Amino acid sequence: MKHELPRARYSSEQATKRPLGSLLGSISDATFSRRSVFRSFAVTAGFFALGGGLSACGGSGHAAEGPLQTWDLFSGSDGISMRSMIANFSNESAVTVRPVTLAWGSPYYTKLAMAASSGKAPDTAIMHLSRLAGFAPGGLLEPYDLELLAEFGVREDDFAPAVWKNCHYEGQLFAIPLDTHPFVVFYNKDIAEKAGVLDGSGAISSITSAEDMIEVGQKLAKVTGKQGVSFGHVLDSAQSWRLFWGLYAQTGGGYTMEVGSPAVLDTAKAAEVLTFLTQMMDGKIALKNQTYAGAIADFTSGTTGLILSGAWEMPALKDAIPNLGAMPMPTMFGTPANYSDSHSYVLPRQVSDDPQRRRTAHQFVAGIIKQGQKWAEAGHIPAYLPVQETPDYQNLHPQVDYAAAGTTPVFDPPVWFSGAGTDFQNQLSQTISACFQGTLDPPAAVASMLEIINKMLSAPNPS
Amino acid sequence: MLTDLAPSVAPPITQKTPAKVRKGSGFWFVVPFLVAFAMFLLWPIVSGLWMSLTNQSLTGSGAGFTGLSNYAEALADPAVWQSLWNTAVFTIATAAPLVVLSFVMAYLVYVGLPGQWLWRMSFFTPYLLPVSVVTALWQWMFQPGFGLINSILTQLGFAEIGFLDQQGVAMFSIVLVTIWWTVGFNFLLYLSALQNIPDHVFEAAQLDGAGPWRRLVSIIVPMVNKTTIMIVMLQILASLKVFEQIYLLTAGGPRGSTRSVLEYIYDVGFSGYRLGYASAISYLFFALIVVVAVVQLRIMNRKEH
Repeated sequence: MKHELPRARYSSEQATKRPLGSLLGSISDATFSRRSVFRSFAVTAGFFALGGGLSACGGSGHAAEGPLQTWDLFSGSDGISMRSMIANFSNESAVTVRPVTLAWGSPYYTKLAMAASSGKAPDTAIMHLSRLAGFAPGGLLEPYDLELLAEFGVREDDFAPAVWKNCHYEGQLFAIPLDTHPFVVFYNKDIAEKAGVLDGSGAISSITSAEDMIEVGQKLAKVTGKQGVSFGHVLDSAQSWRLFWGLYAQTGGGYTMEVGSPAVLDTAKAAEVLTFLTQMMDGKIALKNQTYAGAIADFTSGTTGLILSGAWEMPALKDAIPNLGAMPMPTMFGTPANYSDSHSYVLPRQVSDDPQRRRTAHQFVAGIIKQGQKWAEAGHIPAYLPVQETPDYQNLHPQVDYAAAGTTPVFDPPVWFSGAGTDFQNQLSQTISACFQGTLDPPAAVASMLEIINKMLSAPNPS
Repeated sequence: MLTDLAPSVAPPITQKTPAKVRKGSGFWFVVPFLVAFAMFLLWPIVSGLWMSLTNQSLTGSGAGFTGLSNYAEALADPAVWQSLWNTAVFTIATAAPLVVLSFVMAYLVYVGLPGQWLWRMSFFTPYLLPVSVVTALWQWMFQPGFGLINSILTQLGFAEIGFLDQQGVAMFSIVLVTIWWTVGFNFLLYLSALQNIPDHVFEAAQLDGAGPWRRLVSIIVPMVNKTTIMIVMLQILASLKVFEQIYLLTAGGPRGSTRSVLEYIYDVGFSGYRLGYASAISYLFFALIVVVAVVQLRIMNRKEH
């Protein structure tokens, strides 16, 4: 008896192909869908290809005459703020800007690197400062022209020295910071007041050691009846690293990370930090197995009174808890230090040198960073200091309460594989997270971290 | 008339002139496919193989020829072996249930559970969901503390399970999600195969006094054999190339315990920019898949004859 195979010739792995595109390139903006952006790109490109053909030019795929192109990775309220800042700039300067928003994280940098290396790069792009070490040495970026910047009113004095220093590679300026976005502390003032941990000015100021932190956490937990502190790290690709690296810097431990030789950490001090954090995550002060989203849910629902979190979560937290307090990461190990990153503007390498276009790019960057007040509404600390000095900013609570964190930033070690959205952060976070959950003791976790870093240091630098 | 015409008209068709025309024209019909095939399959395969012999980086620098050093590095890289092992575990843990379970489901629907359409729909619907939706759904169900499963467990007095954050457990949570998500496709293949079995075979069996068990073992299973072979092959290949549910649920964590080899290739190539090294791992993996496929074909062929 002949029995036929079913007609279907699709394999189940077809389904596995579908999501990748949306993973790697979803545009997170309501009004500009990715397709529509690309369609308009295609139309523009076609238009200029025609024009180029007529004037017997053509060649590079880059539309030298087109609007200024800029890339960013801002979604949600960040994205809305950025689009309105760009619109403001366009209105005032009569420069047409074509912004492209791509999904946050590792794929963004993959695309940026590919665009820069293939000569199709945007005129400017947002880059986490922690990524500079992976881009600048490979010649993927062009340095800024300080004179041009000065012409548009941007000078070295306008930035915190610690941030400005990190914008350089081999003495050249490769990034202009838009903000610093530190890893800070938010607290629920109502709960804190009941717990009796507020000072006369209505702020928590009593934490100057790890023991103080434990004590405050216990008092808050008594009020909530659950836990005192929220911290989410399970399966998160950065949170554990952010918390650890900031506190490790407070110990003054120091480090050496150079490609080709083994990394050096002060293992005793690293273990001390981890020991403290595991003590804090005892299930009473803080859960030891909370996720990023779970930590926010716990804090905003009043299950906890304090959250260790990135400044960028401020708008969401403020929405849920109007009486929101904030402060930089308290100095618990001696030296003030605050884990931080910075959204900065870079100039990706261009195939053809067009002085007028470069000039416009400088003008754009200056025009955007001066609108730091608008940007600060989303929780970031404007890097352009004149904005911080305005009364408007000084009245912006709770942002101004943690603005001091911007003066003692701790960035990722400047090696090519570090920074936001890297496997470096992901792998170290997983190790630290395992320590928080009790499957690795602190010294073993430190040893495992060194092993991970050493493996990366021994790999050849691809840039 | 017609009967007369037929024999006189038919022979010329097989004769020279039209046949010649066909010979020349066939090629042009295949050209569009050949172009796509060469551009999107042949060329990438060749260029990937070349890339694996260089230290090509995503940033465009260093395309220097390095011989087999990438392959040597890959063979000595514990992360490659760990991710291969994880992939093997995932494949074994998903392929068997996805074949057996889908058959059981199809059989139950076929023999007529009440409300057949409801079963058919609920078994197949998950397959229609995009992976991002599937993972978002399960992520919240697996959530520690207030996730659906864990809150039921704690209410019943059991300890919480770290579905995605416990080494050893996480992989099986991913397996569970994958089975729920994709079993519907195999189910559908089996169901249509079952429905293709002619009724008279069953009638004959019934006349001979075969009970339900006898019918299942001696008629149904052998008659869907071809479908089983196809499902097993497709399933093993699909499981070997697992990537996105792992990427979305755990990003390979905790501590690399769920990182599949494709995710490692992605991490090395696209996050780490080392395209040359990533290509070398891909080709090692490719060789493994070829071996698996050949072995599978051999076994299946023997079974069939």
